[in-house]
Amino acid sequence: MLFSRRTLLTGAAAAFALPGFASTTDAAPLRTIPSTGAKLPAIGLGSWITFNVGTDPVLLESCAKVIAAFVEDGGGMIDSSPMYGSSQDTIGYGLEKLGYPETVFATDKVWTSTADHGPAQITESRAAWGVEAFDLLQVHNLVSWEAHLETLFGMKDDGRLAHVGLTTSHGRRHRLLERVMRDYPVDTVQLTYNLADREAEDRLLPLAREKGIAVIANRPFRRGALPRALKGRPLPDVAQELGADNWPQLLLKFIISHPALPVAIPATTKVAHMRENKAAATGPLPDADMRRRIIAHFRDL
Amino acid sequence: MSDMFTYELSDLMLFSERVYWRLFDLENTALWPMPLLAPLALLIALGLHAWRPEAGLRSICGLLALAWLLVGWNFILQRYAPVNWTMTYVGPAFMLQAIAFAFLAVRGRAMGRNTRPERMTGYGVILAATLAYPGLALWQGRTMASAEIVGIAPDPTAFASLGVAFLVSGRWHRLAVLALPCVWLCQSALTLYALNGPAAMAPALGLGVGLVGLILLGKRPANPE
Repeated sequence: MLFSRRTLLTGAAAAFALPGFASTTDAAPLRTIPSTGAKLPAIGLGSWITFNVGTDPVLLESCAKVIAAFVEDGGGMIDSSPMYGSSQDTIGYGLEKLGYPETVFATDKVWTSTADHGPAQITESRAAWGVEAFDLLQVHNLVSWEAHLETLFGMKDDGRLAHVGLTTSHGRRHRLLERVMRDYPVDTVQLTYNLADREAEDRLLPLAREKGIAVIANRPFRRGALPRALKGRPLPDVAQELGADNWPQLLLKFIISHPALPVAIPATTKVAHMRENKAAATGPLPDADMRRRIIAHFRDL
Repeated sequence: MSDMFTYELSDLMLFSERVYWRLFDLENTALWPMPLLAPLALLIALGLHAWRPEAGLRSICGLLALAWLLVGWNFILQRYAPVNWTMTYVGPAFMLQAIAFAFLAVRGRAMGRNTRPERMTGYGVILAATLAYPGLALWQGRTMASAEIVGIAPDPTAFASLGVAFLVSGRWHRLAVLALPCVWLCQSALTLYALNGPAAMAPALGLGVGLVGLILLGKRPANPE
């Protein structure tokens, strides 16, 4: 899925039709992006704050280990943005050490209010990652979305991009997001969805299913605040049935069990947490009844 | 744009507390033995001021000009900006502050006959920035390797600059050494509040000193006595 600087881009159709995830040893079933049929693991890797470590050699190495473990556990979506400080460079550092593994679904964003600067920024992002092309590019927080969507759809038409998406977070700009989802053939939308932030269930997630748009859940742990708040609190009975040993795993199982949500992108600085997150996609996921019980239990805490 | 006002301060943080303190660790290591020499030079200049005020003040201002230049270039632009892109825009402001101090160092007319309480306050602030500020690392549970040191790190450099306001005369001169350090300490206090509440106390205290200085010095004539 991922093109290194050393890889020739010989045609997007051929390239994107050959996902590298088939060989993954992860027992978790792969998820599908409805518009293209691309498949990827349900648990991705976010990079907001966690990978913004500047030029610190110790912390860069630590992040590279997280990326290596992520790839070892099946890989999947790694998400970043030009807004995230040095996160793109950190990802590039980690991927270069691994020889640009095929199992990474390279996902980034365009984030500039100057519409004309979009293409140059995408070039800079590619250079930071060390890749020839991204699997998914998204308009970050819907900033200058009309101009950037035009750029991204143009790249997709030219075979230089596989998927086009939109992002928002913290539950903001949902009305605009809904309008753009209705009017434009985007492949993905990224929004905040977790056990405590379920506003998207009302309109956006049903609309995504109706339009065949894959939803990516950001802030699955509210930047760690949810697991911290739930630490020591009893897990619901269904956790045992689901094989979830702890709250973070249950929180992730809840998110990725929604039929509109193929992928969640928790961020972490620890290999152990990354593996724990990955493990959430294995084993059973909650059905509709279990989801209701989890919500009820969470409300009662 | 109205969305901006619905974010919490912590939502705007681009980096973690661990990354922030590691910046000082790396900077102190990279510039060694400057973390030892920079405060020592400032202490010598302070001693000189007690003996020969004009030469001492010129030395203090000259050293702080150098400090703002080095902190702006080394720390703000090279070290901090990679994890906080807003610092790219702050770096040039540090250069401006360096120019202001260089101007004061060269221009003898900035020297005034300050009252004894003013001088003592100025000495106290500079001594606190030079000797006490690095010790905050231990109080905050870190090692001295990540200590914030005047001439190397921005907060104690800004704090020390406030002390100069009590040693120079002339409203514009005082304003030149108070304004930017106050703005910096304000943003630093907000950053540290979002990263780790208690650590914000030091720059907040510095800001308080600066604001008191602004209020008091703005009310008194340019050259008392």
